[in-house]
Amino acid sequence: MPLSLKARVGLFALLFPFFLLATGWVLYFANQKSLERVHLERLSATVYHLLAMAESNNDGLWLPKTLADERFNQVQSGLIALVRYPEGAALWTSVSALGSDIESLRPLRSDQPGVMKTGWTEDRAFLQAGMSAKFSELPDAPIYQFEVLQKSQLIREEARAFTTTLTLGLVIVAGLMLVFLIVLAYCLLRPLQSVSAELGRIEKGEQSIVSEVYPREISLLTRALNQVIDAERKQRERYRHSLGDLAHSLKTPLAIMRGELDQLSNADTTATTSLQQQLSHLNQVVTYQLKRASSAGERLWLQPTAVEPIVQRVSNALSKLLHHSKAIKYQVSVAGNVGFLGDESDFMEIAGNLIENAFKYAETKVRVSAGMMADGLEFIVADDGPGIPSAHWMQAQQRGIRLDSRTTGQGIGLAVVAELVSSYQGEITLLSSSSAWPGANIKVKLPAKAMPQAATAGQTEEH
Amino acid sequence: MRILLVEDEELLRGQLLGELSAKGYAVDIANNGLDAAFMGKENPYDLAIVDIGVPELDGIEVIKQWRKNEVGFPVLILTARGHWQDKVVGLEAGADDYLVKPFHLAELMARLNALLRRTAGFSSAIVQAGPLTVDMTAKSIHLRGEPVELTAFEYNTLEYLIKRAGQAVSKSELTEHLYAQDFDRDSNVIEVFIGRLRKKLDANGSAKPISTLRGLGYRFNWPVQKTT
Repeated sequence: MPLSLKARVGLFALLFPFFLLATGWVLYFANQKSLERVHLERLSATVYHLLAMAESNNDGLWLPKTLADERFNQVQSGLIALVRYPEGAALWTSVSALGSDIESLRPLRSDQPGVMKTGWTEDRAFLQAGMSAKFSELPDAPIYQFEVLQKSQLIREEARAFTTTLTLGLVIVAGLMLVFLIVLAYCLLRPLQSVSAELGRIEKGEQSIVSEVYPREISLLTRALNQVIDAERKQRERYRHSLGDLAHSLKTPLAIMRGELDQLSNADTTATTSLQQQLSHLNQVVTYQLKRASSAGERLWLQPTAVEPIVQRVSNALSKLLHHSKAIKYQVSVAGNVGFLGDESDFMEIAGNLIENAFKYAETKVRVSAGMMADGLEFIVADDGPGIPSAHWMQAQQRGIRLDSRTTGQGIGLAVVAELVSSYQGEITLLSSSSAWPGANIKVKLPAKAMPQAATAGQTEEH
Repeated sequence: MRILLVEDEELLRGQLLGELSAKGYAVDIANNGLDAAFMGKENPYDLAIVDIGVPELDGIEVIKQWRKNEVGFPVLILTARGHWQDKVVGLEAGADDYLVKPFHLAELMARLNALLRRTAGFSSAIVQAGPLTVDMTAKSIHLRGEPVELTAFEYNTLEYLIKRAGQAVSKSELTEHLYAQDFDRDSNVIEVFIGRLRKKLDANGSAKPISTLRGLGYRFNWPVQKTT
């Protein structure tokens, strides 16, 4: 599985200290080199200064006791000036050389007078600059060695001060960069998190499309998503319309054939009886398959459908159809917040078939109830009719099986309900009868989501 | 009884027309939704049979237009799909019953009779009108327990008068409800049927089941029990 965007940003943030360390290392060495160069230039300039101060006379070379730079006049200041005889012994040293073992230092000789030589002493205790100088044109005139030395400790102290500043600076930069990265990640990821949250809500059925208030780069994606959602809905509508047309195209010729057979069947021949049977079978297959095909089933981007108005509509329709038949006490108890996570027409088909069956078989009363449970919605239809023996329950769910021939119907109602319930990964159960409800007591469990309104409604009707 | 049949499929329409005419119903035909909407608003039908899938204007829309215009006759819809949603939508639009294709003609006739009976306020198919017992399903009558033979038109004329017992029913109303659009309105056929009915129900002319109200029409006089 690819790394999440947060993990990617986190990974980048983890690499950042290494980047800062490398930067610090480069800056440290660049500073070291720069310090060395600056100090050597300064030492070289001091050598020139010393040369300018030296005066040659018959007694030899004369230099002032003190120099302008106070550090040469302070003992153990770390900055030493000296002039050597050609053979290497010290001719003159600055006051600061007192206590230092100057003699042990190897002179920094240049082969040619007038050429400046710089570098570290062998033990790297001093940085030094030196130049040979001849104060006379005579061939045997002595060549003096002018040297200026600076203790490496002084450079190290400067370097340490720089390192401290650099470290502090880098820590501050690291902190700022971390804050910047967090803000950047938040700004970049927020629209994506928002899209992700919206998709979650669409999947749960809380909204129908992704809103389009997103940065341009993401709005291309959300627009495409909305198009896909819209196309899926339109496709479903087209599919249902096509099924409606198909049903009309198939059922009308069947109706004509049945009408013709009804007229012929007055003769009551074996042929017409057989044709009637085949026609019934054909009709049953067509009806069942069309109902099955038109079921939306479980799918992505589902909005909950309020159960209470559906039960109400089915009840109203049934009251119109059944008011002429036997008087049935009809009890409806459906909580207002019960929402079916599926297609309205599918729930209507389930409710319609179960309630209509209950009315067909009930002796005096029918009860319909629906409520929200932890694992979905529970829809129960009970009557006080003859009931369904549990041994026949599986059989009753099969297409074309009618357990009682007292009422009209094609015997596919319960099979269609079972098929629809199964398409939503639900359950249909025959509950055991009670003394109050001795007939069929059918419980259907379906995926659910509570509707926004929390009010509950219950009603009792009589037909 | 005058019925509007809204069906675009010629063969099915022919079958239904034949069956309804044979049972003595006056049938007007509409091949499409627009004609049906117009005819329903203009004529006093006793019932309409509407196929939902008719062209030009969907059957559901036709019913909605009728109800919007306060056209109150009962409507039986014929539907191919038979989904509960289709039934509910049809019934909510104003239909009174539905029949899923394919259907037996006998079932259609039974539903149609039940609708007509319910609309007239009769809860049972057996109606007692004085010494007369009328079976609205079998379309037969018994006078003091003895069967009386009636033609389909005679029966329909009698049933219409019984459904409006105690009320004056004009000749034109009878004509409009018992005969199709193309019937000759000047014909005296109604008078002939009333004359025959009087002879069959009241041979000696003493019980006077049907009175002629001068300038108003006819009235069925025997008391009718609407519930049994």
